[in-house]
Amino acid sequence: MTARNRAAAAAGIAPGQLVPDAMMICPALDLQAADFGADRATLTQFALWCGRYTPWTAVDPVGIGAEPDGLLLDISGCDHLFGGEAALVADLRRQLRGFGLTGRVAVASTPGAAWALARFGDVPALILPPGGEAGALETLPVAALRFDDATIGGLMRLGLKRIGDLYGKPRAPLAARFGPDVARRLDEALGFVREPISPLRPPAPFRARGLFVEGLVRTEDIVEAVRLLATELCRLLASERRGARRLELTLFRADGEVTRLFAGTAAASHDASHLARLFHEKLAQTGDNFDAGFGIEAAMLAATAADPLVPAQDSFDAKGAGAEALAQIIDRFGVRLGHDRIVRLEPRASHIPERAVIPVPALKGVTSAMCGWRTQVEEQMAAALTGRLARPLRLLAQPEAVEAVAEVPEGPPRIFRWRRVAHRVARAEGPERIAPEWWRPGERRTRDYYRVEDVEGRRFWLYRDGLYLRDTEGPRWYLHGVFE
Amino acid sequence: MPPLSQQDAKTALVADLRARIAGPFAGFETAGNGRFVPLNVDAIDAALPGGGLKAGALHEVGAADYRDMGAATGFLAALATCLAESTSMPVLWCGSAQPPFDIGALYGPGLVGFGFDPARLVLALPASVTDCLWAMEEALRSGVFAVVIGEVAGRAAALDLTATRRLQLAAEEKGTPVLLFTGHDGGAASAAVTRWRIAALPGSVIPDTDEFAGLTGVPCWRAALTRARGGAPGTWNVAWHAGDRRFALADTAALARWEKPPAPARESVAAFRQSA
Repeated sequence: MTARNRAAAAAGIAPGQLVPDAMMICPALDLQAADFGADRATLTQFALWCGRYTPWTAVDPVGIGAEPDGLLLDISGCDHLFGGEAALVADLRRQLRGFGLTGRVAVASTPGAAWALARFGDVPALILPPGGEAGALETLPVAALRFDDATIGGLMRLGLKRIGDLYGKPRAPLAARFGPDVARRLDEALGFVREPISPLRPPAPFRARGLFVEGLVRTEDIVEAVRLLATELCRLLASERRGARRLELTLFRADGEVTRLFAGTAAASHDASHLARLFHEKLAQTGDNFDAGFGIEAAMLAATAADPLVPAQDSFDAKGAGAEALAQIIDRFGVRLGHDRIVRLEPRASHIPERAVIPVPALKGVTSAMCGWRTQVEEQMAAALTGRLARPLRLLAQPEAVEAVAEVPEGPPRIFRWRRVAHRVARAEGPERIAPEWWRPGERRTRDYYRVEDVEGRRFWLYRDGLYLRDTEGPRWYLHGVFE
Repeated sequence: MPPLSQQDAKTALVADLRARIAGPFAGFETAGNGRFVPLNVDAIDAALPGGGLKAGALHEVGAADYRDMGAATGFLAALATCLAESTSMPVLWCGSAQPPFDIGALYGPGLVGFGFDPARLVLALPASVTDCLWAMEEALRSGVFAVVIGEVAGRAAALDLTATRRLQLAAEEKGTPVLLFTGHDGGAASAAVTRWRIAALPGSVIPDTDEFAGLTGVPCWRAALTRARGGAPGTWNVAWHAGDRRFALADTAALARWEKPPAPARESVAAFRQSA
């Protein structure tokens, strides 16, 4: 028996009982199999939702029994946003009731004391003033100190039933018998040792949060709220001379769902209207379909990555201003089209045509490798008249097989048929022999590329796959690109 | 002198009427005060109002035939090179991730040979024609691009008068030229200022280089200006000199000197059938 409802508790069912015993006590009992996985998932989801109170939220790794059964929130410095600790606890309990959950809440100066009071305290909601730990814990059973069952049993056998019984006891014998845990847990609960909470997600250093009295349902309202948050966030960023590179917008729905939206920027920015517009486009894309449920009642905008701002002098340097405007429009394209769909081309040191260039997200700006194009352009200009190194303007994603007839085996094709249309070759230049990259796995053959022009003046880039006699008896022809 | 003052009054009246007409017909403007980029071919520049391609305007480039799509891409890239040459701003090319008439994606090393620096290129791959038009319009309004190119080949159905007029208005805003690649089935109603139909033309061979007899020479096109607001449509044989990034009339004399390619020998056709 792991859990029971109020009616079952009234009938005398308690956690830890065996099922036959429970059935004896109450034959009408309705039994359900416990699903610890779903419990854990729900707790994690709930911890995310609690991000509306504080970014330091975690599923408490220790519970009564083997499975986690609670959440830890570090609300230091956050309670004033809700009007004090009492108001925060009241709000949390109201929300829990709204979800149909019964919760026990304790606020204390140490996680250990809060853990004990939430599970073993007399009242469902308690706020312990700082320094009151020793007094409040005195009468609680030793099980409230997060020990394992063996330790609890041992302490009970020694007659140490209450936490107060441990106060002032010599440490050495306890440590010798039960290990260092007893003293450590006691010190953690009383605040003699600091106990860190590891949050579910690392909190962003820059964040702005808003609570809305009435849930926001209309997309325009959400956009307006995001604009206000962005203004606040940018004030924080500007005070540290930083700009956001990655942003996360967390929307807390009234029914407990948490929606997270992400946006990235090409250049560090603390321009509130620009940041707000990124999410505007994200929300506008979903249009009226954005599911606000029963309304968004809290929102948090965080800069998960921020870079120092390079001081830019706009007034004299028109180019700098253009670069900023370019970065902004690339951000907006990236948000609407996807960042992998707004790219720049980067040359690669490879003779294999399909590997000579790769697309890189334009978000990354002009990379140093792109300076390679400049060299290529200059080389090309020098050799333009001879038509060397000619490459087609368009390259097919996959070379397409063509039927071709050549006059001599090693010569250019005389006629070829591509996409069911026959082309008679008037002129051809080549071959340009491109050998496979032997250091790469996978069998590839040497290609002989020809640039051919048919009688109507259309130009194509064809290659013969493999060499006669060495690679294959009858090499196949492929069309790889279309010239201007 | 009465005749001169009468002439002045007439000029003033015409200018006034022009200004009044221009208001409600913004987007259909023919030759305003915008920047004009000459193509440096006298015959073509004379046919275009303003002596060149208007910078803040929409120009359409289509292919005469499906097989001429490559040639039309070349002409488009050449126009873009001309229009972008005076600035160092980037060029936006809105392609499509899945073109319906797959003639391949833009290839960086090919652009190099064209006199176009791929480092200036920003490539967008919108999934839908709606996104494509949105991206083009936003890019035009931002004014950070030297040229905005949109590839809507095969999706011309979405390009009605409204869509093209929106582009035209956005282009006028910052004076950014916009080129639309309409493929071979273009030709719907459009607010474009000029419309070109491009067909391939056998390349003019490089003179005095007999040892390179096999070379295919510089790219040449038969460029038909099928629509020019305020200009005169016409057809020209143009060549593109990538080295100095300029158009020229195709050297038909050199082409004529090049002996006609031999008629297809019947034997070779037979050989083809046998192998097929």
